[in-house]
Amino acid sequence: MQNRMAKRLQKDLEQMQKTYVDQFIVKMPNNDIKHWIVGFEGAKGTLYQGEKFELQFKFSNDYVAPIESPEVIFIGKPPEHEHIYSNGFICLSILFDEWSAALTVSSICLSIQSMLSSATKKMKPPNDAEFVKRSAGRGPKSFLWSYHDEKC
Amino acid sequence: MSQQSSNQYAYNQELYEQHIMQLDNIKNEIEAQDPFIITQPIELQILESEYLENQGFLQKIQKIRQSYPFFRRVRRDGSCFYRAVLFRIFEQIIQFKDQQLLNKFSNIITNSKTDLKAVGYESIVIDDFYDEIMKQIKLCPNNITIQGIVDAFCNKVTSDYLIMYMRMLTSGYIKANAFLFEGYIETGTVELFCQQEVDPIDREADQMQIIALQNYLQIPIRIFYLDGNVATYDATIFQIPEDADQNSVFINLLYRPGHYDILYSK
Repeated sequence: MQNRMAKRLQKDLEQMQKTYVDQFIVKMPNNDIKHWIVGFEGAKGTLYQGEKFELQFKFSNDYVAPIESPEVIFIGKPPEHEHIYSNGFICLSILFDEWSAALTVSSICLSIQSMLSSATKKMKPPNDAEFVKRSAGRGPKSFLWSYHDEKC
Repeated sequence: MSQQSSNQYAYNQELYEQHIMQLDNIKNEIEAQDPFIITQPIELQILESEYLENQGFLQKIQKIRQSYPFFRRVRRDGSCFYRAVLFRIFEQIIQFKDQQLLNKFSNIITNSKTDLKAVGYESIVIDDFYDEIMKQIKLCPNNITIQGIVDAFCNKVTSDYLIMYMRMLTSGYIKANAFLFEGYIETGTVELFCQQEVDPIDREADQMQIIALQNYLQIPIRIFYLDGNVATYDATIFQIPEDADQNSVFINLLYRPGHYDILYSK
């Protein structure tokens, strides 16, 4: 099964490198197909224009690509956004209970970028401090997220 | 960004593995409750013991089993409708060496790739699932037995891949025929409906999904709805399309709230 997963992730990688090469930079710090860092810039004409961000994708060992969702968080300094916590966790339904095999790494990156682009003001989530404290040592997929609007 | 700062918020792999294990435990509970993804045909009478306290259900099961004495249980993981329909198609083709049905089904699946691309599914998303279903189709009717197809459906990975393709076909039909469905969607677009209610692997099929998949596959489906009404002895029958030749319908499903199993006639 490992093989099937690697094959699918390889296709995701090719798509990122061919179609989205101007938008996203993919790194694999440990040369491990199950661990990606995706760098991108806030889009022009948005509150995040010119800011650099990095997303980390982790595909679990028994990840039966792509039935199981990957784990996606911001690393480094996350964008200041009402659905993004200071520890990098992202409240976005398609990363959790609306994940489906119809999504790809690039479609996730595009959704996150569009979530930033549509922001009208920079603000942290209202429960940021409390949530970050509670989530110490836990992964985002271990939470039951509730979404405030259709996406989050 | 330097490597150091980018690792500042990353947390340790061991804990991450633990969370995944917790999620697996939940799945294992579902699997323990229904150890088989699809069972062998068993006597429908067995189901009566579950409804001894519910006369409405009980009397309908007793009536149904006069014509449909057997059923296969299908795992209650949200995919039972898709699984039951696809399984019955394969079973019918293999059991009766039904070349006509095989050709029809094979053509629909072969053409579906183009249809899915037309509504925005990318090749990298479609291919793995398409390949899996084509692999099973190519074994039909002579190079696979009924037990062989049961085994394929009872393999979690194979099963997930086959079901995922049924979900895509369902979404694809809804998106391509948005005008038929829009009126029934309370909020949002058909795209959002598909993202939330069709594509995720654990979402149950409701009326819209059933109609969409049936319309796409063009293979009639008959569903016996059980309910607790003690005034009625017959289950409500929902057949799509309504005008299908009754004798030609081979997909017979038993519906209890939230769940579908497969019924077999004498």
